[in-house]
Amino acid sequence: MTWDSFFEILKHILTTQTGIFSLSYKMVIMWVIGGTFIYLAVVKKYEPLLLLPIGFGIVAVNFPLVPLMGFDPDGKRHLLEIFYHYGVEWEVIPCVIFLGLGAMTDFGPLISNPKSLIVGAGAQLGVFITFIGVLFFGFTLQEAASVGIIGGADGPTTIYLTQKLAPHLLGANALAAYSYMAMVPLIQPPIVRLMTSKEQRKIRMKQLRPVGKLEKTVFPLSTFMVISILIPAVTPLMGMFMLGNFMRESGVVERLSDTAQNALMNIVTIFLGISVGATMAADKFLSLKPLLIFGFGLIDFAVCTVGGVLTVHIMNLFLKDKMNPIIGAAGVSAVPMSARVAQVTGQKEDRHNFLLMHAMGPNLAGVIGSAAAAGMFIAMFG
Amino acid sequence: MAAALLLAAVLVSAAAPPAVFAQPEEGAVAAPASGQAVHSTQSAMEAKKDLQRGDEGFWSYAISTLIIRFVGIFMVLGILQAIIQIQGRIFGAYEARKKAAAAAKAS
Repeated sequence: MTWDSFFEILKHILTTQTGIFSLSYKMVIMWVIGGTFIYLAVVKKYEPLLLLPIGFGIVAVNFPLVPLMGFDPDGKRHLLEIFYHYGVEWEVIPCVIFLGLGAMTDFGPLISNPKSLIVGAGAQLGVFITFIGVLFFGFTLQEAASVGIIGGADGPTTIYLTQKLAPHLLGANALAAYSYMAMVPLIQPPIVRLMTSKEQRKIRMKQLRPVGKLEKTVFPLSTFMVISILIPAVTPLMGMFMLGNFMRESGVVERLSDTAQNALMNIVTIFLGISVGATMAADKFLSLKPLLIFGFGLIDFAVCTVGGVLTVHIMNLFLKDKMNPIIGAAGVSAVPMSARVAQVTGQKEDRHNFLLMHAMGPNLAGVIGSAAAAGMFIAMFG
Repeated sequence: MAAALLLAAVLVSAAAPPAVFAQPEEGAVAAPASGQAVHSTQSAMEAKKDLQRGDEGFWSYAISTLIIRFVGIFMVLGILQAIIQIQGRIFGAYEARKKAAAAAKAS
């Protein structure tokens, strides 16, 4: 063996079997982005259940030659491609997450104050700005519709809609939605303070009426039927949401309810996080569109918050028992983070004002409203 | 309430006709008149949803869908609110009657 052949073999190994010579600056940028999400999850504890696997997924797929998100020469899917294909492309994971959410949710505050549903509808205002805004930047109608759901601050709904209308934007849309959900405590309070007076923030609301077990059990069935008739496109999501809640409220399948809200939810969260992160390969992500999505997503989220608060102001013109406008901000979904933010914001003005349960009504209405909005977009552009 | 329900159903079904109208099987019996109307609406929708910026009618279609969607959410959630309120009254009356019966039995 000569030195020439030795170096020939070594060069061949280094260029085809390792990633050293295939690294690009774009991949390094993606490591920084993935690292930022891991930092936010681990150090700042912002939505760690999702941002941690998403951040890891981003870093993992941005190494050259790694067999994670693609196909073997013989056509076999790589590991994360399998998770993505069967979980996200087949729209299984968002629906299973909704099953778990339903099993975790107590709809009592919404049932006892059905007016809060209107707040959830008002908090969809942001779509006007986002939809039109991104169309000006050359997005297609389907892409604009998928970006327009970000302000609804509902991760699974955003993923479900984007997968149907603009799957190539999935990573950016999901990341924007989860990022802004994590930043609710930073984004919402200044907007709420700007839109309300001190006196309005001190409004104490009438105590909610207690809701009986039978009424809570019937609620998921009737809601499922109404939504299925009016917006069939969103039945997979809402059906699973209401099934989860029916399992919880019926009280006869505690084992199933427990599995849906704990073990199953945790499993699908892992697969969802890593699959979403894995869609963000440098060559797809580093372009103008994701930047626009992040920019307009933030505007969307802020305008949705404004819409919720504004809706409460308008409703207060007609109501005898006034609502505290702070709870309007909770209409953007992001359960239960935005309800907690409403509680904290209210207590800054009056330590004895407990808004949490009042804010849970608009918060849950936001989930239903976002899903309804997604269903309408699917019906129009799907 | 019934009118609102009907209007919402018409709006949504016009936007998303059931699959049975979208892909009729070969040799199938012709759909009823209402079905044909929905089918033609769907064809128009199919053509419009792929409009590109600069195409004639793009902006009017985009803004129309936006308004329908925004108003539609209010209608859907409004209908849901009405149903929850009706349910609340029914269950409230039922609970009150149950309590009264229990009180009468106790006395």
